Amino acid sequence: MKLKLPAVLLLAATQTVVASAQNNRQTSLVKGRLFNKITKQPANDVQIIFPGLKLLTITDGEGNFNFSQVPYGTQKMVVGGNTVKADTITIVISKDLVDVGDIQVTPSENGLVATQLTQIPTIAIEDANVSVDDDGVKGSAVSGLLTASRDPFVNTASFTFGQYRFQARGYDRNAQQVLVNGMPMNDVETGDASWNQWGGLNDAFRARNNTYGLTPSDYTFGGMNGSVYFDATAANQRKQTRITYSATNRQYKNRLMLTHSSGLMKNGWAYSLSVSKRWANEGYIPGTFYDAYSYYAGVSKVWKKHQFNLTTFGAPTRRGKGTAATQEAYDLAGSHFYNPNWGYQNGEKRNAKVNEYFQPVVIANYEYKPSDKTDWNTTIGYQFGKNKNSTLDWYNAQDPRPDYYKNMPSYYVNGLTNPSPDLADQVRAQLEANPSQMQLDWNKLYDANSVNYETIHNANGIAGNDVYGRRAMYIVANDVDDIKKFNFSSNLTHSLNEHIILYTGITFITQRTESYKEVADLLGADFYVNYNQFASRDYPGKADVYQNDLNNPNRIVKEGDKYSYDYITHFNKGWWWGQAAFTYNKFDFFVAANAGINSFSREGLYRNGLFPNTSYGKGATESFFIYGLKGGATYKINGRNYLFVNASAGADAPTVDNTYISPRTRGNVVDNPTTQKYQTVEGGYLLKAPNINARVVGYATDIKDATDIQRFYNDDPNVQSFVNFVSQHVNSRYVGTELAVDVKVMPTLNLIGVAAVGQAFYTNRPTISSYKDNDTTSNPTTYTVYNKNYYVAAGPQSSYTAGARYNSKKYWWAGINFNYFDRNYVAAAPIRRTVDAVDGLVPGSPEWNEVLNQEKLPSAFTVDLSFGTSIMLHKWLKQIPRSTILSINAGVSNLLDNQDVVTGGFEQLRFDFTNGNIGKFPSKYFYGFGRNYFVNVSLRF
Amino acid sequence: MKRFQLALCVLVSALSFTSCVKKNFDAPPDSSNYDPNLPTSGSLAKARALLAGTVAVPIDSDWTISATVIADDRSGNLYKQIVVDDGTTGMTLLLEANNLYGNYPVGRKIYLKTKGLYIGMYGGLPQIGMIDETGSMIGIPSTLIGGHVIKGDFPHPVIPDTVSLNDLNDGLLNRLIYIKDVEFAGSNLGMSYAQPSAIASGTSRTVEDCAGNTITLRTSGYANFQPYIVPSGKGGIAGIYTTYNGTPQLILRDTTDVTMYGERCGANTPFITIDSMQKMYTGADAVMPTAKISCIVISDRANGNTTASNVIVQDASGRGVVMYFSGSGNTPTYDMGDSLVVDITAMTLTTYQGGLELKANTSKVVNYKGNHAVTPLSISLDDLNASFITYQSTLVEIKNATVSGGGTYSGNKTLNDGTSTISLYTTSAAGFASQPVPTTPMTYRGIATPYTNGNEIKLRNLNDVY
Repeated sequence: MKLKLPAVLLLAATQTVVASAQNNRQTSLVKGRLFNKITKQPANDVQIIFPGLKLLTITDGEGNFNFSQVPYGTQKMVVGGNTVKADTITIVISKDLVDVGDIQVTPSENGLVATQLTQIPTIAIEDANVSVDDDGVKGSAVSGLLTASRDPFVNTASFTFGQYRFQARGYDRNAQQVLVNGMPMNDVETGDASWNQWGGLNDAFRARNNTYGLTPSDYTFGGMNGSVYFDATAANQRKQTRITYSATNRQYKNRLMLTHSSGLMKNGWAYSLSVSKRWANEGYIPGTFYDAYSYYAGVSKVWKKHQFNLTTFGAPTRRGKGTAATQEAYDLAGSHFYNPNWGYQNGEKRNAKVNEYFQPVVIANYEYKPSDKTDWNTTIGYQFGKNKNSTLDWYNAQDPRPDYYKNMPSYYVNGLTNPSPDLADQVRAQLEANPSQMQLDWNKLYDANSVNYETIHNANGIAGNDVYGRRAMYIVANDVDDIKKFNFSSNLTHSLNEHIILYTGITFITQRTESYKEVADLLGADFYVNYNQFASRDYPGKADVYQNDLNNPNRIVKEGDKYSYDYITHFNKGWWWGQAAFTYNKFDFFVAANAGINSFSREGLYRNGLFPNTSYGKGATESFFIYGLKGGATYKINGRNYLFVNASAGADAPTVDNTYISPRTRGNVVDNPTTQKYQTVEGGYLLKAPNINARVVGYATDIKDATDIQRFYNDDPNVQSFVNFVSQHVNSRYVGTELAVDVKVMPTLNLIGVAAVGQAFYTNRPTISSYKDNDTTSNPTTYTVYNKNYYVAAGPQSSYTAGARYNSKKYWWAGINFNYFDRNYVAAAPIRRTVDAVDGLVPGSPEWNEVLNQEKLPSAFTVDLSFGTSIMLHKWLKQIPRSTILSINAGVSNLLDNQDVVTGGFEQLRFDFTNGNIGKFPSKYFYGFGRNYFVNVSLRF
Repeated sequence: MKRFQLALCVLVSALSFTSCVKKNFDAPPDSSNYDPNLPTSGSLAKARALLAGTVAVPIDSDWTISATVIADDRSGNLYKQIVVDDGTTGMTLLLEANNLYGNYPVGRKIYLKTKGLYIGMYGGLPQIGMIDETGSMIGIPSTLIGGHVIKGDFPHPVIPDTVSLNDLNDGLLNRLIYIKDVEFAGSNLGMSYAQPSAIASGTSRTVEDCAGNTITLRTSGYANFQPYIVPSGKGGIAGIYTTYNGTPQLILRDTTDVTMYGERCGANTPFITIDSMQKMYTGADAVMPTAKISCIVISDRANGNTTASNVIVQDASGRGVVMYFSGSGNTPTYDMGDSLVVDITAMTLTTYQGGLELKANTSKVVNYKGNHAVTPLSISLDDLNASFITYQSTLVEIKNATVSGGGTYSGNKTLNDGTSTISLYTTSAAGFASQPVPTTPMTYRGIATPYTNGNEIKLRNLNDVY
């Protein structure tokens, strides 16, 4: 909120605001804003107390504060805390609303030091470093809430629970809207918000407005999990130069960040630069290297009531990935961090699954403030670049993955007609004695390629063109998404009067995504051929059918060439939103709405031999009307106790991947694509007192008509095809309680307790249709999924932490957290909850239960330690200016080195219908890191 | 600004150690020429000798046998197995993995470490692998293959033994053989190597030489050449010699093993007419000379008024004959209108119930299919009866004829066209036997069929009455 009254009060030791006194029993709403006298920036996270009334609040990201129900009369307000000099302000309350306007505060003697304390080290929790693409299960594993907040619950959910795949309220990552300088940054296709886009740019990306749940935002309608607004304009960067080095043993080992910001200079210009590098030859998981750079540059010009900003940033990243594995594989490898993706090549670890990401962003925005009451921000943004995920691909060759189920001992028990434990034992002994067999054998792949001489006839579609050479049996391939995204947004905020603020805005996004596969490494061979091996096996001798691209048959492909699939998705989205927020002494309330169109279409660039009539060319546009309504009220019982309730309902479009049955091969859509509807309500109690800050919230959400498509290779001998499981009309419910208590038991000691207990579960029996990619003729097989009351796999549904934090007056602090996680369920495979899966089993028998029961993962207990300090180097060496500060943050997570924390798991989507033996395709699991640490050393001057 | 310069300086120096994380990998050297030259011992023949009966026995000796891969699974005709030969004998290796040709292509030298392996039999074919809990042979688990089948260098020449169909014996089992001057049996022509896997996992075809010696060619429904049509020429064929429950079988590696480009056996055999053939019967069974006939099927097996073992054909000379196929595996499947070429060489022409009958074999029949119509001879019953033996087994048409007695077609009815009468015979097994006979004069077509108790006309189906 940019509310400002003309009266700027310059504060000395004591200041007085006079308003006409009337009646002591009446109460008033007091609001105002703090900003730093030196930096001229809003002073966030400053404590303000009315000692006589025992009221406390903390300023928000823009320095705003407000107190309700302050009794009429003369009151003393103390500004203080760790960051600013204590200052007492006397105000006389004599009317319903007292706006004390902008108050300048002076950083304390060590104020610059102290501001470091509140900086939470956002290291390493950047993205899932795992891939589950072979198994058709989405990797929605990492909590989207990744930013500091003043709310003790949100803070804990982000930094303590986040490491253990906690998903706030059980929602997916698309439930939070993220904006940078007004440009929506959520992935246009999936809606997910990925922090990778500005990985390593922590200094420049500080959240200006961070809302949780259904709390209204000043910038956007918000998702079910709220919104984050980053202000990355140069004008709003703190004037500083900062060098940060971090050492950790998580995804990377080292991080170096350099930032220099001019602050807003007298000539109205501001610039800011930041670069960083994050790297590791091997992260916590074996075989996962990390090699990332990032840059940020911004320039701003403020001229009268106008502000122009140009901002650009990007984070070119290459990193090796881990993957989920079966418990059998973990046990054989003797480690819960076993990673089958790597193997030795010439004595070095090489990872087959590498993510290579670079999608830089350029944003120009213009902010116009014709008056203190009006703020109009218009943003044009452009983002482009590629996201590549590598994988091994092969043609008529043995599955090279070392943990392929037929390589495992259990196959000789669960996979054979005559179970043979003796053979299983031999296999187990072999793998235990030769750990290298649990890793990729690159030499074997090169070796196979080196002897595979073949002649390809009529190569590249030219009759009589024979190409002879080493045809690759194995290659490394990239699945590539190449995006070009254009965004236009314009948002207006206007204060109608002291009580009412109106917000409105429009956004248009158009994006073109080309998705294709490319040859990344031929592994010593001369060429690869653009054939569909599954079709060639199912339709032997039919040369047309197994062409991936009939328009260019028998194509010889080499490194860098596209193959397998190639299509463009055209996205067009546009929406309006509006909001009115009302602030009164006893009540705050708001109403908000949004409405728009979300449309997309597919343009095939390949004519697939299996689907020659539906794969090539531009398909029909799928268009969805999307809308949302939201409203809420807060009742202020008194200045310390608040009750609130918010509710929202609306409809969102399905994603492209959940609309096209198999967009890589054809343009067919599911039957009657439909929007997903949601209804959600939250309500709770807040206590804000000087010595206790507490929050109890209950929520209930229904999501209806969701579509979910799971794709995987089913090597059941009766199927042997890529299969698309289309689940339609999936309904789910999310109910639960969030509790957070932060008690200051001594001036230096806070005790914190946080609990999130919820239930995320399915509420109906959806239908799944199984479409085979190799089957061009028949109708899908349809099953009813008896899914009702199964849990949604949404991380631990009971998460608790109890902690203590000691804040020394000497500018250091230390904290300890004891965490307990429970009720984490594996993702249930729909196919196992069908009549067919339990056909022939006696209801209630152990075999029947084994197929149907949903596994609860073991509960976990961990301990985290954290420590921080700031040192003003001036104290040690007088030549160094006072503004030069060295900060050190360190933390140890999972101090007890609990390596048995299963953070998630999923049942494989394929099922052994022949024997109903779930051991043939057992569940796969993710384990959380054992003891891990980070140390940040930061020098600011 | 000084601060900024300092920052820039640190930045440049920091980002210059960019080589912390390596990016590209060298390709390992091509190891296909590498031979570990392991000391060898034992032989496949010695291993074979361990097997007294058919029950799998362990190879206790810690032999290292050097052999060459002579057949792999590239085409999919072999599955989870390769065949190797060490000069003493050949052997099928069972390996519990697919697409083995990537590691063990034809021509690769391998070292087989036998300790822990078993030798057993499947349908009479010796195999080396392991056993499951029931004692049945199973492939070496994928995880263990590398320890038992060690790669040597590549490639080594793989030269088959050239043999004739008369020479085949159990000593050749699991070896690559080459047979000259053979062709697919006429009955297989126009057919694919195998039926699709959805219909049958494997299909047998017959390869024969000009003297009539045969061998079964067995091909998997999963082979990538399954839908290819077998060649119609004569030439050579290579393959692994195997056996299945007493039936010798040849297994192709892929279709490059088949080089049948020459003219078929009997390409110079003269065509004769059925008329000429009939004249060779002079009262006693006659053995046919080297000759072929080209004819159209006039009997309708779909309606069952002709015995299943009989096919009645007529040729351009206007004469017809019954071909009688007896014995198992010799069931004719020729439909009315099919065009056949029959090599009658050495077949016997005999009589049955007064009519001529050729004792035929399907392997001598090439069916060119098609829907060829034979125009019936329009004739009065008086004329027909007068020269019935001339018109035997041909299609005739009797106009304005009535059937006396009413009822159904089943059994003997009398057909009268005003000039004479004849028996209209329909077996009760015929599809139309229970249909009522017309009461008004009609045109009747049928096959003139001699019968000792009185000649007959046999309708083929109800389209013959109009």
